[in-house]
Amino acid sequence: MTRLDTEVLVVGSGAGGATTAKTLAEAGRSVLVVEEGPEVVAGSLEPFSLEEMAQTYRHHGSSAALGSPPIAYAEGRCVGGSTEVNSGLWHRLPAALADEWRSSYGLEEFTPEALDRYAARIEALVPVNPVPGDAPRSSALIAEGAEALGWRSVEFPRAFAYDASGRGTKQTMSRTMLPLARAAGAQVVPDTTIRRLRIEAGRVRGAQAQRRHPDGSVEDVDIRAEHVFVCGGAVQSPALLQRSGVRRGIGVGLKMHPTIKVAARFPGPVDHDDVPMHRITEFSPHVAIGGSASRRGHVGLALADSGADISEAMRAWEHVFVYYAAIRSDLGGRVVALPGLRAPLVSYRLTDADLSRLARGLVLLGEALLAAGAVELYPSIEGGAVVRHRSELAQWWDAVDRSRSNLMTVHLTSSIRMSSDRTKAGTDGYGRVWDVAGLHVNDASLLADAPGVNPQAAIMTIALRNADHFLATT
Amino acid sequence: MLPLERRVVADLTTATDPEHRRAVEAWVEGTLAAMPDALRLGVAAESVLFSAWAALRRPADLHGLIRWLDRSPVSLLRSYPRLFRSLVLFGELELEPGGRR
Repeated sequence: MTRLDTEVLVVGSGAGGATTAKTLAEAGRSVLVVEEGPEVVAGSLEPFSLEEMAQTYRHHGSSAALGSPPIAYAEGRCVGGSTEVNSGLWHRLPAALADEWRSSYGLEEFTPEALDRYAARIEALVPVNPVPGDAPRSSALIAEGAEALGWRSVEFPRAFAYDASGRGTKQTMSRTMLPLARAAGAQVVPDTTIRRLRIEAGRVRGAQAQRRHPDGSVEDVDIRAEHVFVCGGAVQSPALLQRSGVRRGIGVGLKMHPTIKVAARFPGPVDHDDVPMHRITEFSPHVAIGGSASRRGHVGLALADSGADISEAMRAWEHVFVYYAAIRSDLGGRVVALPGLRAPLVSYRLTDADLSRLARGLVLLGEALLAAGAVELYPSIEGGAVVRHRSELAQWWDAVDRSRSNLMTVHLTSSIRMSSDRTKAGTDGYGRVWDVAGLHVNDASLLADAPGVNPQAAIMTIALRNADHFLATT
Repeated sequence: MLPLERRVVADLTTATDPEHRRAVEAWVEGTLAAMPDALRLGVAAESVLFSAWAALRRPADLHGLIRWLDRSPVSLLRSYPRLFRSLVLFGELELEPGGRR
């Protein structure tokens, strides 16, 4: 068994963990970052390819929350976490949500102005830019559809840096915060799974881990730490805390953006190399409309969801692109670590109102795509009608039900939350786990709700706020 | 993969090139193995149940089984062939030799 000693152990290297590690290491703290997944050379894998899914997604991207209907979801599992596999779209936390969360959960230092200051510090280190020049055709189609209908749409910036030729590089954690953390002395250990935290007499003392070596051998690692920041994301963080005996307020209230898709066929070819950066914001934050990764495999899957004959559409697959409508849902889900199972059980509950919202989103998405010139729309509903004219969209209202809808999400949040009121959340207002000294959470689990936009900016902003507070008080 | 799962994958795979078929099967096998335990256990339980159902029929009728599952009013039963069809389709399209992705 190997023993490692550190002042601060950070579990997970994604948006929350990398921000925490960089901030604490630069303040002179001894920091050890443990990441369950591998370290992959940035840019070495084709985005959204099978190889990328196998190496950098948890469960190869094949996870699902149980429920009626079940909701498929994907999480990153590599050095840099989900920032390595997401689209990089950058949205600061909307001011209205910051105000709502501050008052509902009694959060200090959580005004829109305060959060903007933290966000600006993040953006000084993680370049955030719009696409130079014209947006790709697949993205511009969203704006054209919205404009034809008189709806508001926005081209969102992304965590991307562009060279003089316009070539973009996604500014993931492995390219931004983690190199800064390492330069400040932090150690990053990949391929290492934290089995459980060691908690003695109401204080965290470290963790028991297992490290996998390239030859297939597994080594037990005993990590001694004065402080532990759990940053494994909204599924893994509550599961680790539960495995370690911390259960109060942990794993309840999971939130996500349930998403329904449409494969849209256009008269001419559409680009397939990027994820659209335009969003229709007319119905935000309750319904958001945008575009997904659309490699040939994604196009085939999206077309096939309806059960219609897709052979002709697949022959012209380069004319097809996948778009989505995502909602904010009423209720939520749970994460439960069960004895004997390696992966936690995740469940999610949708209300009838959520299904109505999804149906509305699907119809609005269909309207926008037809207005943008699409000639055929395939919904992700078993037996859902393929639509060619606006007058046929009404069929989709009744088609979105619990037994035939194929839903997915990539945003999972809120499974622990923070609040100054211990009855409302698993941590205090700065991510400190109630009743376990030295134990913190600092990731998507802390968000009070799914924000209706890509959560990476909000996760990093809140992580920096909490890390600053740790430094000021510890 | 369990024997029935291997047969279902072979049945749903439309590729004729043996290397392509092997790559698709390996991809499906790897993805099933990587699934969260609870989901994999559920799929495996269905596979055992459906294997018994298929074995009781003479001759063993894989197409009939898949057709019956596809038409079931129970979404959990329909999800079984849908899972394998999705994995096979995605694998076939992404692993096609020389195919633009």
